[in-house]
Amino acid sequence: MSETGLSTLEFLDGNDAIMRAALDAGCTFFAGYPITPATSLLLAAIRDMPSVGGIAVQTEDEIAGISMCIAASMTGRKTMTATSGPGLSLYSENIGLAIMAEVPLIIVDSQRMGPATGGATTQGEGDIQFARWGSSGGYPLIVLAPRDLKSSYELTLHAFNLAERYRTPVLLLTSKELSLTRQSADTSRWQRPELINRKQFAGSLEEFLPYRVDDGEEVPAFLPFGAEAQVRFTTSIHGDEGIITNDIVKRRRKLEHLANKISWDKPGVSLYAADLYSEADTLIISYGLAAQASVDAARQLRGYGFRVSSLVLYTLWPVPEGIISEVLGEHKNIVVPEHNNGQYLRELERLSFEQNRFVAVQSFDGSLISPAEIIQAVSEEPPLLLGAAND
Amino acid sequence: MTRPATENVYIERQDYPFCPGCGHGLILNALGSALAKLNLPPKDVAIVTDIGCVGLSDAQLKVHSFHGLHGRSVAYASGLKLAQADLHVIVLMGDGGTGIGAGHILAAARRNMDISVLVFNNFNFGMTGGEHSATTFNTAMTTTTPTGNPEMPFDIAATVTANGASFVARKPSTDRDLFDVVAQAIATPGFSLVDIWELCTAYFVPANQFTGRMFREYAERSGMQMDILTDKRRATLGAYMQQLIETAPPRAQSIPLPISFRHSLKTRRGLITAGSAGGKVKSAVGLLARAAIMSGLAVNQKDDYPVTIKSGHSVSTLILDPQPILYNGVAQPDAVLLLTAAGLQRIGAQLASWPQDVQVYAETSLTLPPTKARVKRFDSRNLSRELGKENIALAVVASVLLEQAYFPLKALKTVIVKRMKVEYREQALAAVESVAEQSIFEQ
Ligand code: SF4
Repeated sequence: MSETGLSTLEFLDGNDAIMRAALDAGCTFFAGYPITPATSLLLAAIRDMPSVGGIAVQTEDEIAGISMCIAASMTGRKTMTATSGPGLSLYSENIGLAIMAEVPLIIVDSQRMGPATGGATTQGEGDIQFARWGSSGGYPLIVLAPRDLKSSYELTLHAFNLAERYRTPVLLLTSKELSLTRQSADTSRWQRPELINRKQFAGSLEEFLPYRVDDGEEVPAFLPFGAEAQVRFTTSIHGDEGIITNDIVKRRRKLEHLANKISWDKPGVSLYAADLYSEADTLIISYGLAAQASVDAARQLRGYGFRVSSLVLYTLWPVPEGIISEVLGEHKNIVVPEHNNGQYLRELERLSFEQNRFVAVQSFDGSLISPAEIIQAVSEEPPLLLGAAND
Repeated sequence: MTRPATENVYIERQDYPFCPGCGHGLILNALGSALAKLNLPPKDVAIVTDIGCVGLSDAQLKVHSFHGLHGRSVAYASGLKLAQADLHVIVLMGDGGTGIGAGHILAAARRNMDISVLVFNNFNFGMTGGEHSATTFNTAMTTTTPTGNPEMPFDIAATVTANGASFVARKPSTDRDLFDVVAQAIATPGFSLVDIWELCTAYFVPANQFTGRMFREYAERSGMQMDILTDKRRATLGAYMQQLIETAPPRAQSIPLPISFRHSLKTRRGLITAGSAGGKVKSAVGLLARAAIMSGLAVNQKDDYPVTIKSGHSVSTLILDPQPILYNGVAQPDAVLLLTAAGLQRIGAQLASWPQDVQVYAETSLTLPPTKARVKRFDSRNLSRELGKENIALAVVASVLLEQAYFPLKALKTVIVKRMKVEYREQALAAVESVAEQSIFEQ
């Protein structure tokens, strides 16, 4: 197929693409604990970080891994850690801390079959709801899900940008299949969004308050540990000073800020690829690895003359409600392939209209959903009804 | 020893929020004096506080403060120090924190992390109501040991001493020279810890009729050494990291694979190569994959092996496609390379379902289950003898390429020349050339 002689073809896996993007984003700190299928990110960090003046540490456990990254981020560095489901469970409390204390941080979760230790080398994408609701309090964070090498690279860059811009942890949900499968790729076609760095405090030092959000700003301006002004950081509910407070007004202001700063309609947050077919009544909504089979199936179906639309979600949390509502309104049958027990289906059902009928295609035994299964689901008459309560 | 009086440079307020008689205030005063003695600029000092009453300390201090999760203070401190080497990082944690976070303390000592840990050790949990902690003396009374503590106390100072710490001391909070020992700890390049024994006047004191005069008696009874346990020097993890950075090569650039050959495929092909761990299956298939890319094909290689990677099967599934690959499952392969019994065991069950258009290349000694697939045989003992054991997989892969003619053999040879380590290259090339001269498959 490729008639060009341009030598931009490479052979690499999803974790290679993520680490390349992390370095391109200016990440200079990585701490993590070995776990399949995320280990190759730790190994790559140990290999590459010194070359960019960065630090990579294999920590004593996952808790130390994310703890070190949080602290390093507060010195002004861009930081990343990587794990799988069991480690994400251990990250939980610190993810809450990173939300509370507004820490830019990238967490890669290379998913595998769960629950618990599950299948270390078996495919799974079952951390979808856990990624969003896995820390106490229920405050939002951003979760992105790549589906191939290109999106692994690009979403990692977006993840750093979003983390910096909104001072928040961003989870990148990849999975065993994508992390460890080596593929050919034309890396010259990977898009590199302009890098965003967190907003630095520029006022006079005596006036610095670590958690004050100035009018018209999205987040508090940042000064690193070691700055001339005193920097305070706390896991406890706090006011602008960064000190624990019982003041109900300060508490409410902080929590409303946390609840509101991450939302689907904020700039750069809702990432997706919509391939909509006019007058189609069938739409496949997919994300992660199932998106590969979905796009494949949509192409084949169109080849057979069917009108089928496809929406691939790259941002899973916050739920990109704008585009989802729009496409649900324009289609009737919604096919939702997932490598889990229907964890995103419930979010779509929440936004559904009366005409929507949902068809779930699910696999959680480690096997990949094939385009053939999706095609079969689309052409089933009547379609398998799953929980389309409005109908 | 006189205590420097300039502690208000570091201490915001001395209206400490602790109970009357609580030892925490004494330790914070000593910390202020220690910092004054060392004359450290406040902007270069970061305090990391753990959870518990001690966690209220950050608001009292005028230096940078980091108040994190219970037990993780040493991990945050390590991250701060590694990321910002100019900071003097000091952890304030209770004995509760040393219990839940013991692993981090041990790791920091072993790494000789250049941080200082001050343990506010009053032998029980204050904030939550006088429960026993890791350092509660045997037989002591707490709210969770109403008949006396059945556990032995955690000797935190001796433990970090035995595990690589640079400076370790144990001091009663009431000692007048506590500030001086704290200053020594902070000034130590490397991991330092001061286990400071103090009174929790709300719980431990009334429950045990405990007084400050009993510290040394308790230490003796528990076989714990007071004062300075160790004071030595060795390289820190931070220095090691700095050296890695200074000696690191420039960031590795990827070497692209130029398209230099033509493939013959109209549609997708799936190949499964099944052998044993250590049989170089992954690398032989990886060479074929790169050669395919250099012939203009889209490629996908999935490897399957047990967690014990030096035993059992090693199976690589390769997709070659003239079109971009989206879905990458292989329900039915086009060619199957069966190298060993372990490989056969892994994929043998599927053989029965494969139709005639699947071409199997099987090692001659393998007993295959009934199958409609076409089978060709090769003898790996011959290959091993003539080409070397480590080249069997490559020889079979090259032979299949010759048979199937996906793309020229020259592409594979080029990849070997360009990508293989020099010590394997000659033998590998010889293997490929040998199978090109004479087919390995039995007629
Ligand atoms: S409860 Fe104990 S440790 Fe806490 S402030 Fe009171 S005396 Fe001090």
